[in-house]
Amino acid sequence: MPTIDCHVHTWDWLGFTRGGEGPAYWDRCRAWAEQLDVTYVVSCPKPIGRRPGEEPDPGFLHAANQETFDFVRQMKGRAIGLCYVNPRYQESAFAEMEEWIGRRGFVGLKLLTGVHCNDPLLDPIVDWCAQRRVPICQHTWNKANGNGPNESTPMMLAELARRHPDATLVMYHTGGDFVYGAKAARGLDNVYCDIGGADAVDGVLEHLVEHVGADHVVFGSDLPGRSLTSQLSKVHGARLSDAQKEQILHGNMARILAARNP
Amino acid sequence: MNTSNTSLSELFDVNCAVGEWPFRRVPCNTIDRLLDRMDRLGIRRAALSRLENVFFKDCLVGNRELAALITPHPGRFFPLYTVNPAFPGWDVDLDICVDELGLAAGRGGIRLYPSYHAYPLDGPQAAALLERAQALNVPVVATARLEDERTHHWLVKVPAVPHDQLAAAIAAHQAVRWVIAGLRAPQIRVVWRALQQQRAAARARVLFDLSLVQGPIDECRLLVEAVGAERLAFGTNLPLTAPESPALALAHSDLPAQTVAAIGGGNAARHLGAGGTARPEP
Repeated sequence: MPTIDCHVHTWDWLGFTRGGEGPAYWDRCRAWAEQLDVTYVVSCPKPIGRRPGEEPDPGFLHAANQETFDFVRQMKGRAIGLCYVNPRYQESAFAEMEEWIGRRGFVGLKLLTGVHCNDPLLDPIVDWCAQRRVPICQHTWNKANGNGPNESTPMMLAELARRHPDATLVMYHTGGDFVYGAKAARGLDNVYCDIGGADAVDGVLEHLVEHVGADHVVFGSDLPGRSLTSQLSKVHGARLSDAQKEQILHGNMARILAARNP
Repeated sequence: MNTSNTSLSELFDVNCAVGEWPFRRVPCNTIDRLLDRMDRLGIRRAALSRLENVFFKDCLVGNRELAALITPHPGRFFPLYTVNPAFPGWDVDLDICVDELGLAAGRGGIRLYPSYHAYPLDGPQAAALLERAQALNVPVVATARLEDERTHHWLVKVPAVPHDQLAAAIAAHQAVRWVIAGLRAPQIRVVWRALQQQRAAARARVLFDLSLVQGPIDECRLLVEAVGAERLAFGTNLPLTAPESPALALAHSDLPAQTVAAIGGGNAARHLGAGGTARPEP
């Protein structure tokens, strides 16, 4: 079954492939994409040479987006890019979006932990994306041991979604806990729940589908921290119909991407 | 994507439980549902404990339930009786497991939940139990983690068993046949390195299960390089975790068929002393 993986990163953040950052990891990504018939939607949360946790300032962000562009080219049709911005730097954000989404083919926006996603700083950025029907992929978690600084929760994303009903929002990780994220996303037609990252917990995808519908769940892996096999097992092991699984693995994200008018 | 790799036809799950979980409904909460899931994935045998014993004070209650549950299904389960060495009378309860429930070499093992039962695995209480396990010649499955700590219930936050405790206990009880369940790939490496530094790696009788090895990419191949295929075993962490995860990881690992077969079942059968092959019930 062809799959669109809406949540992939360019960096080998722990040197998992032994090649560290860059080509060795990218080669393995391409091999897995070919083996499992996957297309990656990819972003770069930390460009090569920068430290994890470093403030994503304009220089950092531009380097990150250039790295995403290079990754996409290396994947030879197996990847499409997301533009990473920090709403704290508005001028940079619009310049990056105009360049990478407007002119160089990136398919959406990636937001991480620059600010909480219910911050008004996001409003003009979300409006820009909504006008072009470009999806916004926002990292969310609800950690029992406490979120990090400016790390958004599903409830914050729900607040943003209500404020911008015309925007298409992908709730990355669905809060890391589908039981929690499902309740936050329920009833929000412009929110799509990404199942990437976290363990393949048995039975919780069915819970998520019951709350938001199979037409509002999208597959993501969170490579490289998670393996494709562990994340695909969430779908393959779930008590869902083949049609629902196709929606999650491919159909929903394909529909979101087809609606773009950049 | 499927698990139809022929090397995976005789899976032995070293990390399985049956029962209810306090925080949500789990799909495989009964023995029949568990067997159905096992058959669909080609899991022929499972080392099984009673999930309720994670929270029961009197684990003998859950152990008796476990024995009753598996009796109608000979050959499918290798019982793991839960023992809490910090609870009064654990030694008498262990005697009951031996005398009444049939715990013996090749016929079962001991399951430990050190974090949930709040004792250090490298402390004197655990040491007393590990000496009994060694004397009985039964394997010990030590649970390092059941769930991602970030997703725990707000009132029940249970840390994973620390790496240094795992390594110290394994090094101090090298005659015990250990299964360490629920470690991530990087954590397996850390424990293994600690055993190497303590010059205990070569003699340690330990298997690491794959249930929560859910990344990074190429996790199985990289772990084989790090600790050796003979130290790894298929495990599911059912009913909390999807068993398809380790099955798919092995099926797509690009490891030689012989290696996949060893990790999938051969290592477990040999290590637990549970020889013989069980077939699904008609």
